Amino acid sequence: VPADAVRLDAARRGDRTAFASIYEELYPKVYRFAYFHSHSAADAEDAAAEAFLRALEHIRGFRGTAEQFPGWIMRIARNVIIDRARSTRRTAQMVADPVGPDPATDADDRVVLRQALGRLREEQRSVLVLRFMVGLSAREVGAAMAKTEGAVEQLQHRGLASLARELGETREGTTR
Amino acid sequence: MNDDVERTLVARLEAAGRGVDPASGAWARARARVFAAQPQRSHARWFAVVAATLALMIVFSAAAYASPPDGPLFALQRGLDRTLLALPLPSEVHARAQVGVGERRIVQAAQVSSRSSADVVSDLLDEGSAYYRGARTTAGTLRADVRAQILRDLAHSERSAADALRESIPSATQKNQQLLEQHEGELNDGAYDDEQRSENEGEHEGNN
Repeated sequence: VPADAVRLDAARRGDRTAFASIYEELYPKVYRFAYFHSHSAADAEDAAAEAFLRALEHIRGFRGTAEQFPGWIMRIARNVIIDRARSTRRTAQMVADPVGPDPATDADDRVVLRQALGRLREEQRSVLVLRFMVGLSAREVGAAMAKTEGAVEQLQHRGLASLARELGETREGTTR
Repeated sequence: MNDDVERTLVARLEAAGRGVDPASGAWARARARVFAAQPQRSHARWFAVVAATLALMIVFSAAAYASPPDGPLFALQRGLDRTLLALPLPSEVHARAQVGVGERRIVQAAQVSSRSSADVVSDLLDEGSAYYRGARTTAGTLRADVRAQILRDLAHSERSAADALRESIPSATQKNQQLLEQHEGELNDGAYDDEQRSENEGEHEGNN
């Protein structure tokens, strides 16, 4: 259980140490999710920090179990990403952006995948990133996206098919 | 898409995900940003909203109770009175509150009788009388000694209200003068009846 019940209860009561412990465990996952929706590592860092700020602000209102907590925080992260994309009107630009990633930290295949993911529908991209790159279960992804497990599996299936098509096009246009 | 392609794609996605971790500097910066936030931010905001709402309610209530019947906040005063009397109060407290509101309405009728229409004055007088009747009814549900005390207070209030009407008659408009005279008489009659009942209750209680 990523955030056990005792620790979560303490965090709900305002225990900063408990929240810090949850943060240390989940921050890399939230960052990873944000990274595959962002232009750069700096954007991902900002989005992940904003997600944790919102979580800290609203944790008293979280009524779920410790098992549902990762899904809840990913939902917040997804909302942050969508809000940021809306406010900066970057969604279209991100899809078309041929560079995007930070060359110092991105391996070639990650660059290709990130670009291809950027061309998918937001829901498909979120499902693929949460399932395979962040490592959440279908149930946790469902909690993050307010969908049933069945709907997540459908989105995953269609997302993989779309990604395969995009990569086919990408391969034709790249020297990988 | 066949299973092999799917498996390969999933493996590539997983590998790409494993390679993405926040740099230690980024992690520390985010940590500092998150934990520099004011503790209990939402709680503090909630408290501020409640405090501001309470302060506004107090200010508006005070202004409403200072408002004359032809003032803009008089409707709020009426609403607050109704709300107060709708609360689940003990019957004795409820009866005393009805007496208090009844007397206030009649005194207000006297205050505006020189400038307000007969309809306004008549409404206020009728409302005051209705509160008095309500107090009488509520008193009927109480123990005899408490009932006697309430009826004495009611009679005293009716006489005070009647005095206020009588004093206002000379300055009232012609139509209002008739209304005030009529209600003054009714109030004095009611006070007399209530005094009699109170004495009877007292005697009854003494015999017991």
